[in-house]
Order: sequence, then C-alpha cells, then structure tokens
Amino acid sequence: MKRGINGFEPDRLVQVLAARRLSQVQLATMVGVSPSTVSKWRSGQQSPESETLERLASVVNVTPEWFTRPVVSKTTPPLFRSNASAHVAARGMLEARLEWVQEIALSLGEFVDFPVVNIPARCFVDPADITSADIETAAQECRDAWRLGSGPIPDVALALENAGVILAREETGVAQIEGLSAWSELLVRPLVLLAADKGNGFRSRFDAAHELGHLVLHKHIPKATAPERHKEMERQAHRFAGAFLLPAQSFAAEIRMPVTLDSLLLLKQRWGVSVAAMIMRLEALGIIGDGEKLMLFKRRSARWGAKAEPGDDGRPPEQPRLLKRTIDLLMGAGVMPREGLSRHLGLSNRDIEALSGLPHKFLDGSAEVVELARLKETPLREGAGSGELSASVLNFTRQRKQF
Amino acid sequence: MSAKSSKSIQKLLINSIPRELVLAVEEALEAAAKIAYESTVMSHPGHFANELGSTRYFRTNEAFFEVLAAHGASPTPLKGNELVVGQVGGFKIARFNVRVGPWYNARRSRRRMALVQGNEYIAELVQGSLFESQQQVATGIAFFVAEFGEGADPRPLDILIAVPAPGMKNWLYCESISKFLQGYNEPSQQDDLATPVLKASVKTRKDNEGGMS
Repeated sequence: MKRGINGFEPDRLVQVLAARRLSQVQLATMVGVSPSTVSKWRSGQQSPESETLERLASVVNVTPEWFTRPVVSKTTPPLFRSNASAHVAARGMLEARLEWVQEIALSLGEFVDFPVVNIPARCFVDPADITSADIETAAQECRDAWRLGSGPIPDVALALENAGVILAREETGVAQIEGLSAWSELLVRPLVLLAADKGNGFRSRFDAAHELGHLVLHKHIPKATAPERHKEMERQAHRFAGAFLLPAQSFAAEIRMPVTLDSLLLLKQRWGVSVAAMIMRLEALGIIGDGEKLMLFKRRSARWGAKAEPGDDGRPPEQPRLLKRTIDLLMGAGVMPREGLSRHLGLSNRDIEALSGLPHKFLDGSAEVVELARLKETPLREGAGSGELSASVLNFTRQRKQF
Repeated sequence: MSAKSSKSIQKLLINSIPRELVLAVEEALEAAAKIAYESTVMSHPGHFANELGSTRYFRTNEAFFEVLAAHGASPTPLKGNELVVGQVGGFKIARFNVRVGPWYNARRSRRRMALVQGNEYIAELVQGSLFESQQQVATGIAFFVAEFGEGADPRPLDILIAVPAPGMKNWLYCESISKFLQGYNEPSQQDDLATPVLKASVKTRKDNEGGMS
C-alpha cells in the first residue's frame, strides 16, 4: 500500500538524482533511509513521509513542494558537444540541468514575452542527407537573417539570444562536455547550455556556434545511437560553426599563403576564433590540404602544447543576458520579489543564479555584509537613530555534499 | 600619421575601390611575378637579375592592365615603359614593384610624381579638417606595390596598397592587401534584441494592484 505524502512525483526524484549526479545509494545515505526506500520512491510504490521529504529536499537543495510538481514535457533529445569518453551520468546531469533551464524559462515566460524565434528552418531527417554545401548555405542564411554581415561576429551569445534562443552558461564540472542543445516543445524555442569550465572566450564562441549548428541542421533528426552517426552529426555541427564564424569569402581573402601559425594568431583576435578552429576551417575550404593541416597542428603542439594558445585571455567569455534581464525586469516591476523567486521556481538560489547568469549570491539579498545575531543587546547611543536593526542567524551545517 | 587618419583613408579607398578589384589585382601581381620568374630562370647568371626585373615589369603591367579592363577601370593603354593607370570612383590606381627596404625607386618616374600631386586633397584632409567635410568628392591616387626580397623570388614578399603624399617622400597610407581587405568586412553593429517584455496582462494587473504581489 502506498504510504507518505500525496502528490509525490517520482520523476522529480529521477531528475534531481541526475542533476546532482547522485546514485540512489548515495542519496539514501544522505537522507538517512535505506536504498530500497529510495528505490520505492523512485518507482512510485511509496512516497516519503512529510519529515523525510523535508530532509530529502534539504540534501538536494530544492523546496519540498518542488517534489510535488509534475515534470514538464521533455525537450527534444539533447545533442551534446562532447568527446566519446563523456560519462553517461555526466550527460544525465546536464540533460537534467537543461530541463531546469526550460522550467525557469517557462515560469518566467508566464510574465514576459521573450524575443521572437528566428532560426532558419531545415527539415533533414538523416545526417547522411546533409552535404557540406547545405551546411555552408545554412550558416550563411543565419548571418543574413540576423544581419551579421560577412565580418567577425561581435557577440555570438547575443546573436543566439537575439534569435530567441534560451541560453545558459554555467560551470558543470564535466570537462568532456562543452555544451548541449535541444528544442523545447512547450516553449517552441531552442535551449542551449554551455559549459563555462574552461573559461576560454574563443572556445565558448565556437561551442555556441556548434550548438547553433545542431539546432539548425538536426532539429528533426532522431537521437543518434550509433557512434558513427553521432560522430557525423558532430562533424556537421563543427563545419557549421566554422562556416558561421568564418565565412568562406571574407575569411579566405585575409589568409596569407603559405599559412603560418603567427599569421593565424593575428586573425584569432580579429575573428574571435582559435587558431586550431581556423586550421580546421582552412582545410574544410580546401585552402590547405591534409598534410599542411597536420603540419600546422604539429607545430602548434610543439610551440604551445595541445590545450592552450597565446592570447586565449584576449577575449572574455560571452555571457548570456536574457534570463538575467528577465529576472531584473520582474523584480524591478514588482512582479516578483527577490526572495520569492526560489519559492516560485522550487529551485535553490544557487541553481537559479547559475542557470540564469545572475551574480553569485544575488538572490540572497542586497546586504553584502552579514550581521551576526547579537547575543547581548547593547544600549543605543542617544541620537543614533531609531531604525530597526536587521540580523541574520547563520546556521553551521555539517560538512556534507553541498549543492 | 595617426591611426584615425589612416583608418579614414582606408575608408575612402574602400568606398572607391571594389573589393573584387583589389583581390583581382593581388592575384594578377602574384601570377605575373611567377610567370616572369619562370621565363627568366634559365637566363645567363650575368643577365638574370636585369632580365627578371624588366620581365617582371612588362608581365605585371600586362596583368594589371587586364584586371583594370575586366573591372571597367578604364586603364591607359599598354605602351612601352609607360605607366598603366586606371580610374575607379574618384581614385586613380597604378602599380610599381620595389625591393624590400626604403622605396627610393618609387620616385624615379616623372609620370608617377606628377600623378601623386593629385593627393594634395587627401594630405589636406589628413592635416586639416580630417574628413569632416563631406561635400568634396574624394580624389587621389593609390598604388599597388609588389615588394620583392633581395634575391630572385618567384613571388612578392608582400603586396601593399599605398597612398603617397605629394612629392612621394612619405606615405599617407600604406597597408598589406591582406590587412586592407579586412576593412571590407568590419564587425557588424549588432542589434541587442535580447530584451524580455512584460506581458500586457501582467502590466495591467500590476497597474490595477498598484503594488507588489
């Protein structure tokens, strides 16, 4: 017989396990119940008691009431910008985080209208049908539709948000996955989550353009299970990113032959694209052959190593602004108070801040200096004012896994 | 010369000379240098440098003439050692080859020196009202300069576009073609549309409530 509170949504448990990258056993230990109990909650055979729900919500840092909210419709299967070694749990975590982005946008979307979606439509159902020419045309179509001209794009994140994309960028702790994207059927708009872990503005622009490639080219393609198919879709999104950031005509005209790493370094700052990505683009355009590409990569590794390039700090990572502006607007208009946001969304302040691009602790209140509770009242000096004294009690919690 | 005036001259050139024409001249000068090298490489070592120099001159002139003609830039006829000069917008365009180092050779041609006097207008702009006057049509002459190394090279080390001051003792503008071309593709002025708008129903409700929810 089913016990516990009414309305507990097992899918929420599944989602939070993924979002926090916890196993059932880990969660059970943290909550102080047996793994089989968590298993029963998960399968819907049982619901937690009110007190246990409080504990459960506390350890995963959501509101207890959040567990009673039905999970909104899923997005289209997300496409990940990742290498093959990315762990299944890491993918699950990011997928759940992307669902939260969708939920935040949905909740805020009750009060505001977001920019109109303006993404060129393609109807490919099989990656094998997509040619290089299709990709180049699609990338150019984006530039034309968004009036970006044929030169460097000042801000790729802004270009995406201008086109109606809900963009989030947060540190994920997963080095192998640089981003993911999906279409939200409820919002009827695309979602992109970029990993901020590498802190590299050049790579981040390419990641955003790569996700745009997936959104344009692969919207109607079922989730790839075969590795070759996934690899091909990744290659196509890469090609799209190159074509979008470095249009053939204008980029090629600025290339001096023979191509050297130093000449590309100068162009890196202008175009906001890494030398490595430019080498790949030159090969895609047939300006250099496979041999020259290998030689350039060999020299690049010998001079700079495999992971960094000179001038990587020349461009700060672009930041999303739409969700942050929405929250600012709602607060400014008095529609939603700062302290009401977490309650409204059911998520913790930290999660909302990370996914909405808000500064750390923005939602905790305006006070930068936390006053400790007074243990002994001291008499006010005469004429020192009669305003109310505010004080916060800081709880010192046990050192556990924190979210 | 300040970066601002350099940028302004670049803008004048870009407004007058189509990008396609610049790319075509670059290609033509490269190709002519290669043809000249290949046709003289077997010359007697005692003649080689002279033969290469004069062959380069003629082949480059021919290639330059063809490009100007193909782009409707009304080139002056090919005739002996005479300079080929084209016209695009308010600008005359011509060419010369130099060795890397100071461009003393550039002042050797009387015709070139005469043409350069036409750049008084640009020089005045640089020194004076700095392109603020929009009434006058920009006129002047710009040169495509193929710069060769000390040895016998099959291709120029660099191809530049240069606007000399009258007297040709200094240069109002001088930039590699590859860098100059960037001016045709400046980053666009990006609109910022990433702005949410309060729904009309929410606005009305707030107005009626006259306070926070």
